Amino acid sequence: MRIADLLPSRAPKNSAYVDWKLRVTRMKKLLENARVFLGALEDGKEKIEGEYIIDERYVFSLVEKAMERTEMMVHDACMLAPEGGGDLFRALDDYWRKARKDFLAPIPRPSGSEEAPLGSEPEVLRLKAFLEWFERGEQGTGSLFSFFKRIVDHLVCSFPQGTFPAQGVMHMGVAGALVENRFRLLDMDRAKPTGPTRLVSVTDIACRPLGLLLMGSPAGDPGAAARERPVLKWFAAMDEDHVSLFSEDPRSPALWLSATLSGHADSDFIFVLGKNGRPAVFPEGFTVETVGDSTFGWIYDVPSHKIEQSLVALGKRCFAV
Amino acid sequence: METKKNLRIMVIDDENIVGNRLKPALARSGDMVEAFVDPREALKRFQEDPFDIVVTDIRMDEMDGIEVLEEVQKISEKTKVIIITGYATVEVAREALSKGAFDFIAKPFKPNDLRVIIERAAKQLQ
Repeated sequence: MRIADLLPSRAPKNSAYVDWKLRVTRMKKLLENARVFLGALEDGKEKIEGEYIIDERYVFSLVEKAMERTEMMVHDACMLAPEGGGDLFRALDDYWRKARKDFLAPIPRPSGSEEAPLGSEPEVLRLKAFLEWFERGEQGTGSLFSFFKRIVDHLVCSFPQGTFPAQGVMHMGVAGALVENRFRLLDMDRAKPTGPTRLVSVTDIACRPLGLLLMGSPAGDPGAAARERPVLKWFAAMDEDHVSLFSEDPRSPALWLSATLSGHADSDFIFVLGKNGRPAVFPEGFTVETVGDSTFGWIYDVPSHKIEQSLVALGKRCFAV
Repeated sequence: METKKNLRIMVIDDENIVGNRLKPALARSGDMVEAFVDPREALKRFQEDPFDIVVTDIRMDEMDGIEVLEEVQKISEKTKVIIITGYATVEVAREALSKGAFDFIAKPFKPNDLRVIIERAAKQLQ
């Protein structure tokens, strides 16, 4: 028998609770970086189309911003799903090499006093080349955006399989038209579990985005109705301005929805990732992409009321079926 | 009927793209625009015939925009100097404004954004 076997378990009580708080925090961080990454592409395009006066510092800072955020997303994705992470990091190295060689190298200047035609200045050409690589790649090289999709696909591997915390969470039932929704709710604002599991209603939860998601569904008694209708299980980690929602039932296709609604356009954001055809339809205004058998979509940089409307529409698709 | 007096505008930036884009954009409204990549050449020209407005980059290899501001003020007190900064830091703006710059604008910007500042400066010249 080893000495270590005699020591009390060092795992904290309610480790699933703590693990999930850490996991959700890391996923939020990844999405914040995704938002900046996507914003870099939009900003570059706006500068080209709007005929802005740019300098090489702007071009370099944009390239660096996109690459650094890509690196952070890879790091977080690999912490969430370590298996296969080595491949992601190796690919990241390739993308950095390309960025440094082609987009962060000094921009050559025309010799003499010749002036480049408008729209063909060296800084503009460099920016256009970077944006082209970002979106479409080059012959033999995948685009930076396709690498982003690969990171998202890797995230799907981190989708939980029955590991949600059982202790210290709140339970809530919400009736949809055809299904019964059962929620386990984790309050991210609390350092430790709230105590024995307790039943709450929609009016008890202090989470704006979750409240809007549930707006289309009447709160119901999770008792008798469940015997007649299918039950969809959900896990939601929430605070006042944010919800990370996961479909829990392994029999249903996976769905992850992350929404921040703080009232600040700079940070408000909805990201939805679903497998096997979920969600079938995204609300208006979402950018939607597919990777493998997953579909993901996002919306950001819009007024708060648009985020609110989108949450209500998504809720109807997810809960009121 | 009051006719608008055409301005004489000098643009100084060691990156060609700035002068290339600003010159035609600002000249559209009838103003006379000269662009320079070398601040010392620009100041020689300014000495010969002072301009109404000077738009200068803050960070240039040969001479920075604060020095340009100071030299312009020695030659012509009434000229309005607008600073172009690549980094919209409070410190840079504060220093330029404390030394008498009229305003500053951060890259990237649209020519029309600068035009708005120039029009405000022009009102003070009248």
